[in-house]
Amino acid sequence: MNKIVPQIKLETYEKEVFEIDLDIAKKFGKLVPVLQELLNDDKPLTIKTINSGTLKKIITWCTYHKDDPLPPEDDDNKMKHSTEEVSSWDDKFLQEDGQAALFDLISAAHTLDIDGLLDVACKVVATMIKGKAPEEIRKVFNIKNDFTQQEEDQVRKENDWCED
Amino acid sequence: MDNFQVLPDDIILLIFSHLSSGRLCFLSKVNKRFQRLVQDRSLVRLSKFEECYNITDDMLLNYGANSYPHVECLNLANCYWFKSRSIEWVTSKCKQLTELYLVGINLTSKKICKILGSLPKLEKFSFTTQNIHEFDEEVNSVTEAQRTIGNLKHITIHFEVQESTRTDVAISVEIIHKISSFFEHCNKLESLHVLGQPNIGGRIPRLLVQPNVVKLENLSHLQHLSLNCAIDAAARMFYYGALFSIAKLKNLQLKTILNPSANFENQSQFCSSFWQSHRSLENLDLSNICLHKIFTEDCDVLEVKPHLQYLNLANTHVQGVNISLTSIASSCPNIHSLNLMSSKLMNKWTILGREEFDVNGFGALVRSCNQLSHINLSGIHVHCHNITSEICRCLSQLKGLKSLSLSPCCLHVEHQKESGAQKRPAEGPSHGSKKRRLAASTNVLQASTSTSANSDSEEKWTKGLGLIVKSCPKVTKFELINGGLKQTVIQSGKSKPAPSEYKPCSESFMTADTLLCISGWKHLRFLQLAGIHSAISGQLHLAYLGLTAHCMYINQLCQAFPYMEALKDFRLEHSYLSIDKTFCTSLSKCKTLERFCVVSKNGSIDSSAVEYLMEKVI
Repeated sequence: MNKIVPQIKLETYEKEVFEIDLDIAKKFGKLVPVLQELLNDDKPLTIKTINSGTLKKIITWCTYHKDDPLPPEDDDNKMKHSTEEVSSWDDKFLQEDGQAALFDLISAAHTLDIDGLLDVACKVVATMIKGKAPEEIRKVFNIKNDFTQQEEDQVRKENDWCED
Repeated sequence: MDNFQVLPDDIILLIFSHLSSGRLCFLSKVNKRFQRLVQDRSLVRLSKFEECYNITDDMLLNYGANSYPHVECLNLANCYWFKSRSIEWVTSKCKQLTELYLVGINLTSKKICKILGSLPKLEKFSFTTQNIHEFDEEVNSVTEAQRTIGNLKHITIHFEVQESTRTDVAISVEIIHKISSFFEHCNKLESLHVLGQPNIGGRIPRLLVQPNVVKLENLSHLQHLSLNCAIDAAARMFYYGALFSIAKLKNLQLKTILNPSANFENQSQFCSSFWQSHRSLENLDLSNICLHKIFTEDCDVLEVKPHLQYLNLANTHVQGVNISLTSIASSCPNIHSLNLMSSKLMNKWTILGREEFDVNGFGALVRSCNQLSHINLSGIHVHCHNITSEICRCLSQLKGLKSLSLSPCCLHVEHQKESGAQKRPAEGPSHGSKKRRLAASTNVLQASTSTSANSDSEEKWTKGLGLIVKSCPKVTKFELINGGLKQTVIQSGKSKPAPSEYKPCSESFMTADTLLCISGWKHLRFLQLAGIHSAISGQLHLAYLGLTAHCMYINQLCQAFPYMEALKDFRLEHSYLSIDKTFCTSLSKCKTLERFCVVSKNGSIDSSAVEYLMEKVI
């Protein structure tokens, strides 16, 4: 333990090794105990499902939000069904690299168990869905329509209301 | 391959959980996976259709026919377009329902009782009634409804009583005592909230009903009582009727009593003993009252209330009553939220017979109530620098402060030394007030970044708003309001009331530097700057102020432009800005403007409005 700031090492899909300060890595929910064990180890922890670009972004996000107070459990400001709370900084940060990067970030945040990032990223995606017709949603997210004509007629019949 | 395919179901459900039930109906048409996921119990459990304006009756009926049995909370509040038949059908399918919100929907008393009768598990219920008397009668004849009401823990009643104009000769205001109220069937009731109309104009209800409760002991679980708009006679009559009834209960320990405005004049004795018996009070609203009408002079208004967290004393007159900031400090140690808007409580009388801000009391309050996180001091004007600096110092001791509202003049702190750069104050609105140098808060910002160890200069930098911003980092809501409406007051000896007039406080101006200081609050979500005429000099740059996605302060900013008499360079950065005609017109009123820059993402621009602005400015 000769370092002043303890660091942990993570290896990405591209076999690139990142050194992360422990006080930033403490955002990684369930992984924290695992990472702490690895602290004295020189071997990096390999996470094949995350690429370097995504990890870089995650480090940036965690660094920016390093000093955020933990949200109290019964905070009356915390409304689960509201997207008003995404900050301008987060909104910009999450959307600047396009949709694929955002979805990679969501997967990675899920893997690393970063609650705050996962939550805010989900809200951004939810906002992208809002106010769009089904066809637009397919187009924006490049989703294939897997309903057969017959099934679609059935759905349409059930949901006549949203055609107008 | 689409992006959603890489995500597991539980993440997609997390994304969907941020969407309303109405939106989920659209999603079920996208593909099979979405269709399956939107019917997930975790999403269906809490079904909310409030504000889902594009959802029709058919859609409501089709909303996962399989899902309804799993719905636990159904929110149809203000969905006035649904047919009562549809609502009845849907609620009859939701056998597991524990919460049902129907406020804002016109349903007959008969329908409401039928719905209630079919939902034996219901615990929370809100509804709108046109005729509470009819509702009482209906409940008395439907046994199933009585059974459900017996289990209800929380009831919210919205009164929308048929009204007649004052000139109508046929008004008959009846107070009915005869039949027993539905209220009496509630065996488990914990909270009762009464909503009235915020504005009833010149109309008065045809029928006023005071609930008649015979079996009082049924209501002994009641803890929370609130009335939102005391102006509505029907709601008020019901609320006070309920309050007076339950006041007869011996061991009642109320936790919440909100807005029992006035109306107590002849019951002063009753009230003092009623309030005082409630040591368990957590939330208390006494706003808009002349307190001496309720409390006798010798009674200790707030006795010791160890659990009190919320106290609203807005617009209260306290003359002749034993209550002051000091008494709040000593009797309510755990208070979190305090509203003192325009309350005379803030003032004490000096020996010279002048009203003055009770700065010692405020100091005591801050010292003993260190959990205070929400304070409203708006409408209180302080024009004495010794006192303003003391207010700022006191506020800065509240490290957990989350929301703060006050008049800008409370923040003006004179600096002993002035920085050379700010020597020439802008020719701000003089209004006959003596010339005064304003706090140069850029210095404060510099101070917070510099690591100067010199405590002497440190003290110079940290004054006024800067000090508060630095000391209370958790603030999420901040309001600077320069209210100046002088209310009509009938003064003794004068027969005519003085006309109400709007005269903004001349000392309440802000510098751009002060405003910039606000951006030091990283967690700010709500900012309101109202009616501030400002001596903004030179530059105003607002970048990513606050954390909300939408620019909440744009209207206030528009109102402020005409008063910014020295603004040359304006820059605003925010997502979702809409540069429309209002914005451009108000910007053009800022005569000194030479340069402006607006940076926005996902915003909109009305090009003709911008052209108009350019024409005006050039």
